[in-house]
This record gives sequence, C-alpha cells and structure tokens, in this order.
Amino acid sequence: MENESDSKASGRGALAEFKDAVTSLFGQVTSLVPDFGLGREFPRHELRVEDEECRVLVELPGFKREEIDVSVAGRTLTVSGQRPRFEPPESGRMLRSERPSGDFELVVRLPAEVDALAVVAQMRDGILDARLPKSSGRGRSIEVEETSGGEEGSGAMPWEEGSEPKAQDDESGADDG
Amino acid sequence: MDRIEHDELREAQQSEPTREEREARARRHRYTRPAVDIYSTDTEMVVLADMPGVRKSDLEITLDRDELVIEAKAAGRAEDESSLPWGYYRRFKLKTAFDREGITASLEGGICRISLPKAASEQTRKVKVD
Repeated sequence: MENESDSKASGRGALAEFKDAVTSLFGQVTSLVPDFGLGREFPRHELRVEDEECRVLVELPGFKREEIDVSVAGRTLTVSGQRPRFEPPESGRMLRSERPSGDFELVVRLPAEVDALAVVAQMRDGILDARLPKSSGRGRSIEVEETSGGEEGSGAMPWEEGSEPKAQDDESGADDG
Repeated sequence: MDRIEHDELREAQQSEPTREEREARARRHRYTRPAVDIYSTDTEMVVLADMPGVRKSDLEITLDRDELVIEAKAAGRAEDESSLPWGYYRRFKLKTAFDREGITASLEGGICRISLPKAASEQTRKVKVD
C-alpha cells in the first residue's frame, strides 16, 4: 500500500525493516502479483491460530480445488492460481467489470512450524480452507496417524481416501501437489 | 466506455434511513459490497457477484419496485468473529423494464448469477427492410 512513497523515499531499507517488524508482529504478509483492477485485496484471507493447528481461509470464488496451488515451505504457506477474465457471450456488452482476474499469489507467514505433509486443504462455497497441523518437532515432519478416528476436523480430505500422502520415510516438507 | 449503458442500471442512492433501515444497517456493519460483473444482451441482463462463503439458503435476492437488492450472510463468520466479511449487501436501481416473473438466480462456488430478462418492449429487435 505504501508502494509509492516507498519508491520515492531513499529509505527503502527502513521500509523493508518496518515490514519485517510488522511481519514478525502479526506473523503474516500478503503479496499480490498484479494490481487487480480496483486495488482490492485479492484474494482476501484470514489466518487463525489454534492450539493444534493453523488455519488459513482464502476467498476464491469460482475456483475448483485443482485450479489452486497450495504449498508449504518452512513457515510459509503459498496459495496461487489464475483467474481468467470474464468474457460475456458474443452478443453481450459489459456494463461493469469489477471482479478481479489474473494471476495471484498469496503468501502467508505462519506463526508456527507446521507439518507440511499433513496439510489438508479443501474448497467450500468459494472458500479455500487450509488446515495446517502444528508440528512438535523442529522442521521435521512428524508421523501422522491415519485420520479415520473421529477427531474434530476429520471428514473430507482433499486426497482420495485410502491414498494418504503421508509420512513414509521422507522427512523434508514437500508441497501437497 | 459506453456511458449510455450506465443508465440501464445505477447504484441505488442512499435515502434517509428509517428505523428499520438503521437496524438493518447495524446488522450489516460487517458486510461488504460484493464485486460484480454485469453484462447486457439483447434479451437479458446478467449480474455475476463474488460472494465466497455464502450458501444458497442464506442468499436473499429481492426486487423492490425498481430496486434489486442482494443480501447474504457468509456461513460461520459472525460466529467465529472472522476478519473476513460477515456477509454481502448491495442494491441496484434498475432503469430498464424487466420481466419480473422471469428473473432467476443461481449460486455456485461462491458466485451468484442473477439473470434479468428484458421486457419485450425493451428488447432489441431487428427491423426487416423490404
């Protein structure tokens, strides 16, 4: 938002420092690649920190789960995708065009280490709901129990049932593909 | 940009609020205006509104005289004290005559689509030249 004054001022480093401070305070930072038409924030998101997990809700109306890339690296969650510009039918004339389109990339700094292999992300009513269980180890993915037991958030998994892409012998955090 | 087209549809003006209105506004203070795309063809006008988090049962579309009102709460937001919008609210003044009975709406993946068929008198018609 402060981009203009940012480029004008010589204190670019100071601004970056400030941004870092804000990031460390609030644990998240948003970046959008293009400037969407109205300067709206797209996509809007919310980070919730709970005891056992971090939860990130992202507003992505019209998207299917497979049209969105969700990846976790360290303490960073990245959600990206592309929304094509809406084209009216041949005989149609656009009267208003407010809905954002284009490439987007949302980067969320997580306040805790999470288990990248246990991330569950699903779409519902145009909201991406990513649940990121906190890991107890430091940076190493921990073994995950099969979530057949009725824990609070059980239910639909983004992966086909029975093919859980969980810990085998790998230890590096990978994205969820 | 074709300015004339904007006469077809205009954002409703805020008038003096009644008590009812004020109450409704209080309820909606965490609501936001949904972004819309609107297009017009010879036979209909279509409004597409981004309303992520809204379920069909919570979407209310009313046509009050010449005013189209879109209102919806987003599931779970108020309960969770979410920082995302708790719902959506927007009004449009319709300048064209529409077939009121023929208006339809659907909701899919957080996108609301409202189709307003133009009244026969408003439809573009090609005149045959003999």
